[in-house]
Amino acid sequence: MRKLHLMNKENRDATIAITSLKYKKPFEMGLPNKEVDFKRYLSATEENLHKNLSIMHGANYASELIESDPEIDIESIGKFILGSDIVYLSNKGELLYAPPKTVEVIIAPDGTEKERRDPENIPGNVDDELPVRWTGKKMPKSKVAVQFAFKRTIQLKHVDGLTYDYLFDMAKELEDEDVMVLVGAGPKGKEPLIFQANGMPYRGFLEGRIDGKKYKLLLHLSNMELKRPDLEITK
Amino acid sequence: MAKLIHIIYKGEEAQFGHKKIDRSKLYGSRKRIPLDQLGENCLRCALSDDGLTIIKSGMTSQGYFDSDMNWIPNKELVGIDSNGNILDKFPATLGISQEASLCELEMLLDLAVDSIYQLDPEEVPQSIKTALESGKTLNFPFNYREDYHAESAYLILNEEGYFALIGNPIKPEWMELEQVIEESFENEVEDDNDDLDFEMF
Repeated sequence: MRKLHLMNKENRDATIAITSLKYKKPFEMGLPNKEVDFKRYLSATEENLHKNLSIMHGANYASELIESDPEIDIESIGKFILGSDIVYLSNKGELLYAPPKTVEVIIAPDGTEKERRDPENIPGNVDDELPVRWTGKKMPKSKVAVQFAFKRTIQLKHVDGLTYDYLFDMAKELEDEDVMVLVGAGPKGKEPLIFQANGMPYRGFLEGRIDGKKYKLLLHLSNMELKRPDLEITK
Repeated sequence: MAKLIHIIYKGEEAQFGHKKIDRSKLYGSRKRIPLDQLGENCLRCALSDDGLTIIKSGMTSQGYFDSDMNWIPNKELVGIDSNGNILDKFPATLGISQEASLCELEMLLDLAVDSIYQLDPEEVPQSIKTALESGKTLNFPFNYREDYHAESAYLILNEEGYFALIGNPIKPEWMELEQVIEESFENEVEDDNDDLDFEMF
């Protein structure tokens, strides 16, 4: 059970359960009445990579390969890859026996490199000592839904009777006012939500729905406004 | 030129040019690059579990195999649902008029968004403008290419213009007092370490 430390508008905090809502693909590819497995296999050796073929036979190596019809390496090609480990090769192609240094590259919207810097490790902040705060910044549902793209939705769930009341009241308030409220992390609730170390930061909007004594309290996560990139560049 | 998105609502048709957008086009992005001892770019590879092969990008393929390890050509594969039924293919929807229905914004909020298109209107009848300006959205089927599943598309209008959000519905459950939250051992940590930069923050 994943947890979220949440604070309501009266500054009362509680730890509640969260579930990530996912879509389940309704079909699989296969053959009728026959079991098939999806597998990854070796389809080329290093000599067969574009760079090496270009060096050996020139840029237009296709016709050369058709004419000479070379044999494949039957010891390697077709070998199933059941598992693998990540390794790094130096620029000269030698295996590294110590972790490489990492640099963070910032790329502008037009694809140009803006900056290089040392990467910073950013911890998750939703099950932290500091709760995720109800900021009080409410926006009409109709406005939020057309201004942000929501990549993920997380459902908030009670873990006992007290947290049922706590979450039900939030859902009711939001439904009654037909609004969504911005929630944030950090001491003032101004920081975006990060669910795992070095994970994607998201803006979180709480939406509530009720039906009698039942409720749905949904945390919609967005990392993108609905804007036209061409207009942004012009601005 | 790519085929247009055609939508029919109340017997009137709208047509839109479309362009896929993502956040890197709005805010830029960031990525982490490994460097060797001399400060030169490293190459990330995989080492096969028998330790015999260093696998570089471009050296692998993937596919379906039967129990005798025979490769199944893609053209022989079909979509099969959870009951074992063979599914019919949904045709591509671009360039073909799709019937749209008016729906509440809650349906849009229950969409797991896979892709976003900015739309350039070629022709939009007043009935569609009025529907969108009333705070609702239009839902229509969307399939970029023929396959076994059509996604849901929602047409929206904001100050920046028209957009189509494409994805699949999620189903939040109603929570009741008596409901017991079960411990789940499923790893819910998602791979959301994608590159980012975020002016929006």
